[in-house]
Parts: sequence; structure tokens; C-alpha cells
Amino acid sequence: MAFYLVELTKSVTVHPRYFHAKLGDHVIGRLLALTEGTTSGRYGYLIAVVQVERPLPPGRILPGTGHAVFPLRYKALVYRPFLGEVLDGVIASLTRHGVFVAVGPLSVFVSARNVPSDMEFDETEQCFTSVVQGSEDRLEVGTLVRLRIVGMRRDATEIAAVGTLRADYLGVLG
Amino acid sequence: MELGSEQEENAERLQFGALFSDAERCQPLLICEVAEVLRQKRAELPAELQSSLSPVFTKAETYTERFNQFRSAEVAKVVRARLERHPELHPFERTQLANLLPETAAEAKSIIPSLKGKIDDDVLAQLLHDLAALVE
Repeated sequence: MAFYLVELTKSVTVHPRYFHAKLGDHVIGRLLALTEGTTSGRYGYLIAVVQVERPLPPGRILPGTGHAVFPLRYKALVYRPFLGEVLDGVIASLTRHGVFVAVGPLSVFVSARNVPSDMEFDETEQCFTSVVQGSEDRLEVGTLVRLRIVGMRRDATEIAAVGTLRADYLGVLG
Repeated sequence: MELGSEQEENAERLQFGALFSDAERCQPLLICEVAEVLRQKRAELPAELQSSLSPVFTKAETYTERFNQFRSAEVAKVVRARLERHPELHPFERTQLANLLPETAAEAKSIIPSLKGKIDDDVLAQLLHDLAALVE
């Protein structure tokens, strides 16, 4: 799973009632509230702001309202998946149609056609088991797996991904 | 809105779009380094705000705790230094090697296809061996 430290910018708008000695703290508090925990198709999952560039830029007063806008530059820790990437995750849920793998905040769907070729859905146990004699491999909730992302849809506030476990060196983590 | 307007992205061919290809503005972190950043962030937070951390944060935290194979910040520095001795590798390739810890050169080139033709199997095997020795 690939995490990145990226430099980003954000314009933060502040109400005039905060124009006092603690203005700087308030501007940064607003930045954290607006960005941390958000998802964007462009930069992925924003886990935490780790640094805000100092000194803070001067604010610009908006005509009419009296609000001030601060164009902030900051460094953030993000998680951004890419098509073709191999990553490890944990099976969060499953049905006969496939499994959902949690990779941190990202959920990757692996359809039953893309589970390892030696595995089949077991109706009695409600999980995927290996048909190879002597193999104990199973796909059930909590299993650690290694997958490759084969499809991804990104829009303004959401990322959805599908993956495969069916290739050399992918599948249940030993 | 993002699709189509941006250049094609594909990790197998090291295509990451404009922002994530810009080494000045973006650097990939190892899982062990991320674990350290998250620990610090949580430590800086006063007790009454601990529960206000976002689900994105706590999920990333759970993930790094489970998949972090290098347990201390000191070891993470050694891992980073060992990877830096291979400037011929892309930062993403180095990160993937340390995060996924393939056992053999063939496995590494299968899960990170862009390594093919870029690094000799012997050199790669030595790097993998050195990384594996740091796992706790």
C-alpha cells in the first residue's frame, strides 16, 4: 500500500470574528477540519496534515462579506492507490460472488472469477476453500491477502477499486 | 471529472499522473515510516481529542500496525538508507520492495513488473536478502 507525503494548497476562509491574536491558530484549525479524513479522486485519502508552511500568508479580505481568505501551503500524508499496483489487505466480508478486501481506508472488490484458480466457494462453510488436496488455504473474514488492482473508478469524493488474486505470487499471504 | 482529463495512470508502467510524478512535491513513504508519523500525530493530540480522529486516520493506523514489518524508527532509517543505495530504481519501486518484501528476484519482478530489465537478479536478490535480515 503506497502512502505519500505531498505538498498541497488550500484556500481557507475565516469569519471576521476571528481577527484577533489567535487568528493563526484558528486558520490552521480550519485547515485541519476541512482536509483531514477527506477522500478525493485526485490525491486519494488524506490521512493527516503533517506540516503547514510558515509564516502564514497574509489574508485577503473578500469584498462584501468581510471574510478573509488565506491561501495555505501544507504537507499531507495521503494514501493513493494506483491501477496495476500490488498491495496487501484483510478480507472484510465475502459472499459467493466475491470478497471485499480492506486496504486501510480503501475497499477492493475481488470477484469470484478472480480468486485463486484452485479455490471454490464452499456452501456449508460460507467461505472460499482450496480444492487442492492437503492445502489449508481459505478465504474467510480476517484472511490476509496480496492482490493487484485491475480496475479503479475515481470521482470528486470517492475511490472504488476491483482487484485480482489470480496470478503468481498473489493470493493468501503465507 | 478526473478521468480522461489526466494522463493515463498505471503503476506497472510507473505512470502516476502529474502530482504523484513530481519528486519536488511528492515522496512515497514506507509503511514503517507512516506508522511513525501516525504515532507522533496521535501523541501530539490532547486526550480529549483522541476520539475525534477521522475513520481514514484510524483505518490507516490499523493497517500500518498490522503490516509494518520493521518495528522501530531506527530500523526504518536503516531500511531507507539501504534502498537509497539503488538510485537506478524509481521511488515507487523502492517503496514496494520494502513494503511487500518479496523473497526472490523472480517474485519481485512479477509483482513489480517495471523492475524487469532495470536491475540484475543477483543485485536484486542481495537487496532483498538485506531487507529480510532487518525484519523483526
